[in-house]
Amino acid sequence: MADFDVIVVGAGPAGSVASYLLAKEGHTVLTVERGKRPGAKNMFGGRLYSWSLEKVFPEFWKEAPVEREVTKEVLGFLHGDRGLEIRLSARPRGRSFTLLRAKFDQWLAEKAEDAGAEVISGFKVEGPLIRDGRVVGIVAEGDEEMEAEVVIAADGALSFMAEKAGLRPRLSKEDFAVGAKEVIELPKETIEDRFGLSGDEGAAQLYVGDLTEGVVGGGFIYTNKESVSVGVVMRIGSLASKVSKISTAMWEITEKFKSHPLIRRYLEGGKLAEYSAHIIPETQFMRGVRLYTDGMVVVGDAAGFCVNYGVTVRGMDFAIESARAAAEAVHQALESGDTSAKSLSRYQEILSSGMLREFEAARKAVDLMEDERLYTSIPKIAVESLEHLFSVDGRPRESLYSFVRKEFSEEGISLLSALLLGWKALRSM
Amino acid sequence: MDIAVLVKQSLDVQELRVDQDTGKIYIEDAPTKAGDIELNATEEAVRLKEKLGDKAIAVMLSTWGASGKRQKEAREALTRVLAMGLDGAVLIMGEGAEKGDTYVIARALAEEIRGKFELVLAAEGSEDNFSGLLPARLAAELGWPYVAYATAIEVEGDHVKVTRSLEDFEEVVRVKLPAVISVTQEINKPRVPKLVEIVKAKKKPLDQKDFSPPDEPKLAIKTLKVPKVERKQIVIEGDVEEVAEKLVQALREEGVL
Repeated sequence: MADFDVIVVGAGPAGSVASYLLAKEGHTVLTVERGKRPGAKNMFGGRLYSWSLEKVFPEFWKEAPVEREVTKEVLGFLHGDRGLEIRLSARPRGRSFTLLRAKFDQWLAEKAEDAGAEVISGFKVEGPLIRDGRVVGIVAEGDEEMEAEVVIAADGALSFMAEKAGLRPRLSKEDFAVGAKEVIELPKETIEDRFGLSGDEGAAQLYVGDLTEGVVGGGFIYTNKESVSVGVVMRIGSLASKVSKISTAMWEITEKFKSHPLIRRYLEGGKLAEYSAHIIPETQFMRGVRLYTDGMVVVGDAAGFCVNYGVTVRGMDFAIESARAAAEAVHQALESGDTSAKSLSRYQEILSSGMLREFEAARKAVDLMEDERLYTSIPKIAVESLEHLFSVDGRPRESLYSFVRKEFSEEGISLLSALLLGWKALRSM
Repeated sequence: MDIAVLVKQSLDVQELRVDQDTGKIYIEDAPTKAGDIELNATEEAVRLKEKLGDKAIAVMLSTWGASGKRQKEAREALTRVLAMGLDGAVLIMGEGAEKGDTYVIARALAEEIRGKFELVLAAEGSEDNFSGLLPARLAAELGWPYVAYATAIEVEGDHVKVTRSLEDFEEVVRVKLPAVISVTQEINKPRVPKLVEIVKAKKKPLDQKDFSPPDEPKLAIKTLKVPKVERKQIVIEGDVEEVAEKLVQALREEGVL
């Protein structure tokens, strides 16, 4: 008999949700986390869309350590020291919250523990334990073997579990983005003043422009209760083709973003509390990742469930939804006593009728996001056109149409390709 | 002969945040853990008990009040040492403990230890404060002999032979049990528990007791701040030889050389 019904590798949101659901069904669950504590190694920009976690914990925000509910969405274009911000003050369908992962992930892991899962932190898992072509457990550090009926790989973007089990190919740098983030402490009142918030309201602000020097990516600011999360995300492939050292470039671009006049005023007087950087899966789900094999399923970032639509950046909500689907499939497999790939394929079936559809749509958006003009020409034209519109200097003024046309031709974009780009954007978003 | 290992719930000093401007230390935000030298004490206790066939128990008196977060951390720290092979743990925790000084803590620990154990092993100093006072104070409360800085321990009947590492020499002493001994990091290499041992450790007996102050503390901390170090900020410019000469001169003036 196996040591546990289920071993979950990684206590991030996906790992903890799967652990919680399976422990609640009465299965014996061991969750192994490599970080000192759940959440210690994890990072994201700053916002969780709540739809998927609500299915597991209705109204979780009343209990969970969330920071603010996002009610202000800002899309910004930066060019030189100028900038344009589009501010939406409304509540789009579906709630979203800013939060800090160190606290939030710990809360989720405690939920799993309270439900009966054994959560062990500070322990490294080397890979899946494979016998006769079937995953039968894990190999922990020190070559220790631990058996389970089913293993859930929730070990994040670089998932060695998935790779060693042959569920995904060795990925290349094209498949990843890299994010750098600072948490800057500011008094509550200052945050509310600067971002136009009241009470528990929060802002999510995304920026594109020449700060990334043509690299596919952008900057972000999310407001927490008494701090703001600020940083940049860039495609590694795109970045590597332009700079010699990625870490230095990340640091320089973060600094440049923070010192832009439009951004600086949000951060002034703040105190740096935390600095982190992390790798983000970008397109791998579409690149031949398999979600299950005999005795194992892959969830969350490990399966590449991360999507960047430009105006919305998502990963954690997908991670949670994938974990919920996986838990359902694993539960049924355990009940039926059949944990083969065929039985676990139910996991993909559940996802196919819901979450995976969004990925089909996302693929189109990801293609659009590859267009480097979105990070250079478009922000420039947006900023300069509005600058032109608001310019009054007593001289006869060129019409906005002819100005914009000139701008496009300066950027080497024909009117037709501009229309095509616009059309693509409308269709894919 | 049952052995008690003293395990302190120490601040994880590597994760301590300090406000550089005000010198304020964010103590409540920092996580806690069992100290590294306490792992050596645990290792020694496990080795001795494996030879002698008695029980070895971790005893922790948490000085963090009664918050849920600290309680969880205390239990995690105890799980860590239990996984190394101890048989059980006693956790004393509660309101008022945070005001305790070494005297109060030693008295409370003495009450727990008296009559139950014959040998107490402790770290030569704790991970966070490293005052090294507690084992001596505890020995005094118990009226037992105290041997500090042990680098080797051997049990010989109702005596223990302890090798002590002192600054310029090594000393071997023989004491009659019961006794309190503090160990150094050189005494052994603590084993790293396996996953299965950690899983099992969570099921070992952990006896949690409420702290009741045995007396008023004699000492109270008024403020706790990081000392401000003012930099001289001297920049020496010029070519290499000039710079070297000026640097040596500056260091002489400061009395460094």
